[in-house]
Parts: sequence; C-alpha cells; structure tokens
Amino acid sequence: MKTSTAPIVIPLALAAVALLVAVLWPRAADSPAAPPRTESTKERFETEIHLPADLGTMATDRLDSQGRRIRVRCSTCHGGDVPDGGAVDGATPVHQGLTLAHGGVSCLSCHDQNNRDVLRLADGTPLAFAQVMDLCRQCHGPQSRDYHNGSHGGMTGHWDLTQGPRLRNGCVHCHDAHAPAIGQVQPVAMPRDRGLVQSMTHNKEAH
Amino acid sequence: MGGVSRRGALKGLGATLGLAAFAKALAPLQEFAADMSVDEFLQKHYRELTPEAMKDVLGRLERETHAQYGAKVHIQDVRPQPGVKFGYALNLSVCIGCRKCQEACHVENNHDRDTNNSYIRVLEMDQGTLDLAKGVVDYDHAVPAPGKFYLPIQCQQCDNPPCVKVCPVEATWKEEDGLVVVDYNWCIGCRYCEAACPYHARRFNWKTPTVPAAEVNPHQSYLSNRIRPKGVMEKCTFCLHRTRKGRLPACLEACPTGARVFGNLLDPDSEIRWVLANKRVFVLKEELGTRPSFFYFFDE
Ligand code: HEC
Ligand code: HEC
Ligand code: HEC
Ligand code: HEC
Repeated sequence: MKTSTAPIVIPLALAAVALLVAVLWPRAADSPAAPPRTESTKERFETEIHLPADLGTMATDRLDSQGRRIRVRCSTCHGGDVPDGGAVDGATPVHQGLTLAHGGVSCLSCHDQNNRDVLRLADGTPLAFAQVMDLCRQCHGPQSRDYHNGSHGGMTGHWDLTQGPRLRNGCVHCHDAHAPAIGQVQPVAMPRDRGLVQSMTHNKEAH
Repeated sequence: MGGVSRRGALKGLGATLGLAAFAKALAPLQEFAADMSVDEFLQKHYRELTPEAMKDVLGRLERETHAQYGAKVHIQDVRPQPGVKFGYALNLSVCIGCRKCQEACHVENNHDRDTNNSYIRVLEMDQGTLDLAKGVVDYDHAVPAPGKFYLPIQCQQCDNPPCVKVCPVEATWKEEDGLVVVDYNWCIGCRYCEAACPYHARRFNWKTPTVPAAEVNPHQSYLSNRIRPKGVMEKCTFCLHRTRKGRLPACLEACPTGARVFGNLLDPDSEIRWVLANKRVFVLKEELGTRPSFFYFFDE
C-alpha cells in the first residue's frame, strides 16, 4: 500500500462509545450443545505466510533484459566499498529515496550494523530478513498477537483448516517498514442503485 | 410447512389488504408470474423437495441460466455442516472504507451489473458516533477521510430474525448453521422482510439482473449466488456455497486491511471465538433483541 502524510487516527472517542454499547457476548456459554466435532482429530492444512521474494535486497538503476530494475544484496556495497558503522544520518545519495517515518526509530534499530544482509533484534541478535515478523513483534506485541489469532492482517483460503489451507500476508506486505502508516486510497465504485441510497435517507427521517 | 402455500397466501393477502392495495403490492409479482414456467410454479418448497426432485430443479435452473445468460453454470444444493454455527466479526479500527468487500460480493454473488448491487453497504460515519441512520453510503473521495470511520453492514444472520417472522409464506428461514436463507422460487416478493430488517440487509430484484456471460460466477448454489429471478428478495448468506465447504467468504478474502474475522462459533479454538473472548465486541441495535451473529469491535 502507498504511504501518505494522513495516517488514520484511531478514534478514542469512538472507542468510548463502543465501550458504552459493548456486550461481552453472553451467549457463548448457553448456545445449544452441538454434536462434538470429530474433525479435531483430523489433519490440519498449512497456513502459509507470504513475504516478498526480494526481501533484503535493494533496487538499483540498472535494468535487466526485461526492463526490470536489477536488485542487489546489501553486502554488494556494505562491508566492502562501504564500510559498515560509518555515518548514520540517512543522507547518503544511495538511500535518498527512502523516508523514515516510523515512530522515531533509527536505521540501526532494525538493520544490523555489522552485516547489512540481516536485521537485528533489540538485544543485538541478528535476524534473517525472512524472519522480519519477529522484528515487528518485539515492538508491536498487541498487533502481532492479534495477527497470530487471525484478527489482524487478513487471510484467504479456508476458515476450516481441516478442509483446506490458508494464505496470509506478512506485516511488510501492508506496512512499509520505513513508513508503516496505511495511506489513503480511492474507494471502488459506490452502488448505483438510487433507491438503495434513498432508503437510507428515508430512514433518517423515520428515526 | 403447515399447509402454507404460495397461492393460499396470495388469497389471504387480498382479503386483508383491500383490492387497490393488493394490486399495488402485487405489481412486481404479476410481471414475474407472467414469465414463470409451469414447472417453476408447481415446484415445492425447498425443504419439501426430495433429493431427486432437487436434482431436477437444479438441472432446470442450470438450463434456464444457460438459455437466459449464455453461461454454463453449476448449481449445487450445499447443506450446513454439523457442529458449525457461523460468526463474523469486523474490526472498525482497521477498516478504511475502500468498498473492496462490497465489490467482491457483487462479483461473487452474480449481482445485477446495472445497479452495481451488493449485499454489503459501507457507511461513512463521524468518529465518536454510532448512529447508523447518519451513515453516508455514497461517499466519493479518498478514504479514510479525516474525522471519519467506516462501518460495513450486511446481513447480521440474527438468531432472532424479524425478517423470518414476517414472511407470509415461509420463503425465508434460519438454517442449523445460523444462516438466514431465501428460497427464491418460493418468495412472492411482498417485501415485508425488507421492511422488517433493522439493518437494511435485504434487497429486492426490481428487474431481471443483467450479468454478461463472461462475468457470471459459475460456482453457484440454490440458496445463495445463483442468479435471482426478477421480483424476489435476496440477501447475504455469508457465501454459503463457499463457507459450507470450509472456505472463507468472498468479502473477507477481498479485504485489503484484514478487518474481517470469520469462523465457527461452536469451535472454542476458532479465530472468531478468540475475538469474542479478547476484544470488546458489540452488536448493532442490540436493544432490538435480534441477536446478531455479526460482531463489531475496535482495537483498544
Ligand atoms: C549501492 C550501494 C549500496 C547498497 C546496495 C546498499 N547500501 Fe546502504 N548505504 C550505502 C552507502 C554509501 C551508505 C552511507 C555510508 C554508511 O553509512 O556507511 C549506506 C548507508 C546505509 C545505512 C545507514 C544509514 C545511513 O544513511 O547512513 C543503512 C541502515 C543501510 N545503508 C542499509 C542498507 C540495506 C539494508 C541495504 C540492502 C537492502 C543496503 N543498505 C544496500 C550504499 C549501499
Ligand atoms: C522499523 C525497522 C526499520 C528501520 C527503522 C529501518 N529499516 Fe530499512 N528495512 C527494514 C525492513 C524490515 C526491511 C525489509 C522489508 C522491505 O524491504 O519491505 C528494510 C529494507 C531496507 C532496504 C531495502 C529495501 C528498500 O526500500 O530499498 C534499505 C535500503 C533499507 N531498509 C535501509 C534503511 C535505512 C537507510 C534506514 C534508516 C534511514 C532504515 N532502513 C530503517 C526495517 C527497518
Ligand atoms: C524498535 C521498535 C520498532 C520496531 C522493530 C518496529 N516498530 Fe513499528 N512503530 C514503532 C514506534 C515507536 C511507533 C510509533 C508508535 C506511536 O506513534 O504510537 C511505530 C508505529 C508503527 C505503526 C503505526 C504507524 C502509524 O502512524 O499509524 C505501524 C503500522 C508499525 N509501526 C508497523 C511496524 C511493522 C510492520 C514493523 C516490522 C517491519 C515494525 N513496526 C517494527 C516501533 C517499532
Ligand atoms: C492485510 C494488511 C495488514 C497486514 C498483513 C498487517 N497489518 Fe497492521 N494494520 C493494517 C491496517 C489497515 C491498519 C490500520 C490503519 C493504520 O492504523 O494505519 C493496521 C494497523 C497496524 C498498527 C497500528 C495500530 C495503531 O493503533 O496505530 C500496527 C502497529 C500494526 N498494524 C502492526 C502490524 C504487524 C506487526 C503486522 C504483522 C504481524 C501487521 N500489522 C500486519 C493492515 C495490515
């Protein structure tokens, strides 16, 4: 998704309204006894988490035979021509297009100082790019917990894993690691049924 | 069915409504009755059809769709799975109002192209309010707009559904897995259910839906996304032709923000049960006692 300068503000006042009308689902306990599901012993299909294939590489100006920008590993420059641990000011022309708008964290909170081909955890442990979700998790516990319980980040495939697999997007599919706020988008076409829109208007009067 | 028949109900309606009102109420119905085949008129209620009779009906409907829309479709009668009751939850902190769910529903359920119909309607609301009547459906600007939040509404699959109670011919009912369905071939198009639904979740087919042959979704079921005839009611079925086979509903898969959570309320390990246990969920218009199977929540 694109990024923009207009992040969504989670409506606090709204959350308060939600609190007022909240019902803590009282019916779970007294819902009719269902026949026990035998499926629980069945084999479950996989949940695959999709991550970009080119994770941990960088696009260059050079094009391949099909006109795509050639991507190189970070160590193509870092650790060789570009000694690591040098200036950390984001001013290098190489990474100029990169804007960091992520809660004031700096490059080396996430990128390993001595090996740019990996990320790093807060305690300095190197972390493969493919493990990027563990990086997010250390600072975003609630969203990561929600994600692993299926209530953040979405999915496709099967709700019932005994009947088929599931595919999910990783955090960096939706959130740019450097500017993670979700930007604005243009909505798809509205319903063209005038009657449909009017029925809402009509109901405004009725209330 | 307690001896209720379509024809009987029509007579009853005439007796109580008076002639002029009766004629008016039936105006859409008359047109549709005119282009109805004899087989169709004599078809029994869904729940009275034997498996063989159902097979015949499905075959007939497939042929009719082919003749009318030029599309080869496969219509199944997909039944509820034992031990499953469906629940749906939507995270209002995450929804950005892009209407992708509405669009996915349109495509999946073979909705009329002219009206861009969909079982989902996304309301743009002012932050800090929860008055559905003030929701705007036809917003047309970049989303999310500052100061707004978005509330998609579709059938809430109520456990105490007002729409089912008002149907004079029992053409709509609640199934074991919680889904409220319509037998399009039994519905007389009186639209009482539409008026009874506090969530505006039911739609009436004012015209014969137009769907170009190439765009028809051929994976259809009797009680859900087969192309509806003119003059009948239709509604969201949580995509039962998918969900009763373990798949996720089309609107959930289409959501680019991951705001939607779907699953089996009877399975304590399901995602939907996790949401109910860990989020402060609420239902719309709780005071009406409809007991929806559709829940909303905000992240704290
Ligand atoms: C084309 C050469 C080149 C490539 C490829 C490259 N970098 Fe750099 N990078 C530089 C230069 C030059 C600097 C500035 C000098 C320094 O900080 O040591 C730099 C600096 C940085 C910095 C420090 C912040 C700053 O602006 O000083 C980080 C973090 C970084 N690069 C990460 C990466 C990562 C991660 C990759 C791979 C995805 C990568 N770089 C690929 C050339 C490169
Ligand atoms: C919050 C953690 C985080 C911070 C802070 C961060 N990065 Fe990254 N960066 C990542 C992750 C994760 C990836 C790989 C994900 C991706 O490419 O989408 C990445 C990818 C990159 C890449 C390769 C992809 C690209 O966009 O070209 C470069 C270069 C890079 N970072 C440089 C930097 C520099 C320079 C800074 C500081 C100005 C910085 N990063 C700050 C997490 C971070
Ligand atoms: C070192 C800690 C750290 C790491 C690692 C980190 N973040 Fe963040 N993130 C922050 C901070 C701090 C904020 C700002 C929080 C605030 O403003 O309340 C933030 C904010 C965000 C936001 C909200 C942005 C907005 O403006 O709405 C998102 C989304 C996000 N991070 C996603 C990620 C993802 C995805 C990753 C993994 C690639 C990640 N973060 C890794 C510290 C981190
Ligand atoms: C399918 C897309 C998607 C995926 C995948 C996804 N998110 Fe989000 N996330 C969103 C949206 C949409 C929002 C709400 C908009 C916003 O706050 O910018 C959000 C909000 C957030 C926020 C900000 C919450 C706040 O209160 O400001 C954080 C932090 C976050 N996500 C972290 C993560 C992490 C960590 C992962 C991976 C475990 C992840 N997200 C995966 C779409 C996604």
